[in-house]
Amino acid sequence: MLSAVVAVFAAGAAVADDSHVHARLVSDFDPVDGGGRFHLGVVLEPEPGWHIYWRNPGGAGLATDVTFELPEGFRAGELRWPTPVSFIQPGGIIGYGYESPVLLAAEVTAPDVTDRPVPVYVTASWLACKDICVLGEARLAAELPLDVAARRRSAAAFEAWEASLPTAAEPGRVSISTTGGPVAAGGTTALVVWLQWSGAPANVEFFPDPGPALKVDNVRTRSRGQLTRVDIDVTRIQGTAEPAQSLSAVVVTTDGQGHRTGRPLTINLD
Amino acid sequence: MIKMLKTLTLMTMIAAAGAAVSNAGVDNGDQAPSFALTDAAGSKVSLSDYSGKVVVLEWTNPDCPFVQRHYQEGSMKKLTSAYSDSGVVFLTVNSTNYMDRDANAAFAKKEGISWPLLVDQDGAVGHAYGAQTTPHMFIINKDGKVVYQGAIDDDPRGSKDAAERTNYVAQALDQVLAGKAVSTPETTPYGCSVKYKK
Repeated sequence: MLSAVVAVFAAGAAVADDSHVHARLVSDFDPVDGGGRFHLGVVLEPEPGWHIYWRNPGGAGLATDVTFELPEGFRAGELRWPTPVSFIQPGGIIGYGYESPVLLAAEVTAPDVTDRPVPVYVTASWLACKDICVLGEARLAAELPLDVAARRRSAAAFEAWEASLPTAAEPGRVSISTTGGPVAAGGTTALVVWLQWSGAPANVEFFPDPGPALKVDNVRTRSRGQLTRVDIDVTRIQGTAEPAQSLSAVVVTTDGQGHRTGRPLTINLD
Repeated sequence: MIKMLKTLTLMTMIAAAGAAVSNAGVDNGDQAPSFALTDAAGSKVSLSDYSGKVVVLEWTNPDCPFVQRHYQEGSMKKLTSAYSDSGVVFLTVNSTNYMDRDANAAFAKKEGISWPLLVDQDGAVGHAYGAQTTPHMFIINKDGKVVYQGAIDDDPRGSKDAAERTNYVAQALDQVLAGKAVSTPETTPYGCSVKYKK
């Protein structure tokens, strides 16, 4: 098994181009640093005009998927999703995803400090759309650690990545309440999420992240000063997954300098 | 106290300011929107032609990889052959803005689509139903009410074995034909966005 893996690495398969997306494996694994925890992921760069999708793709599309194949004892944590953008597809169908390069990665724990090379695979699959849609996939391989130059690029990429992830708001920054609930099984509930800000953001965007047991449509966001109102239609998907008690979301504020910050939210549905 | 009043005033102001434009679409239990379209063969087809029957609508676009996979796997043919004896009617609707009747006729011929393929180039029927993806499935019961809307199955990537997949349409049809309630009446549809005209 190991020899087969080494044979592939000789081909230098850490980058790939498929279906209008350039994919590049990145990792900051460095045994000199102790190597116990590191990051592993893939930068996906859509060609100009093309986009790929977020964990919740919106009204259509397909969530991008990234999986890892790691040696014995190595464990990858949850995949982390940088704050997305939204786009309107013809017919008013909302989409959530990425139009510029995005790093999808997870934290990996190593079983012990090792100075042996660590063979890894990262497989990404996506739907890339512009006027039409194309499915794409890349199975990238590398032996960690990457060479010094690649490691340096990766370290820089991971620094920017941390800042691109939705991060919990400072206490008191925003308070959340809802009206229109509870969300009952059967039928669609019109829920209103109210966000009260301690400052007045220049712009507020709402990205629902419903998971397998909920369906969210018709998101309308309106703000006035320190108050934002988000209207959403929530439907429970019955007979499939465990019922959801809450709805996750990411709310994105834009400051006076045009800088976007994403914050994770949990909205109680009961 | 004053802060709370100010908040309430703002809430009322935002509530009054501008009615939200909601997407057209149907809720389950609603009467299915009527329509009259021309099919790929040039015949006029209306939903009212099938009054009293169970009708399945499939939104399609042959340029969409999800549709291509389903046609390769014969998903629609399997459904039509399994349920035609029970009198279920299958209609495929194409709301792709750049496909005219000739393009649809070529698609029907290539895939051997023997049931009506309805040309909805201006997207009016798609919008009336709130069709968002290709494929997007709707089931209408004998009373003309929408009883299922959403994905064809629980496998957007086509990565499950066929035996492991739940086909929501087959499941709902079995229940409707047996006079039972549909246990999964709505799911999130998957696929490419319907290519409506801009």
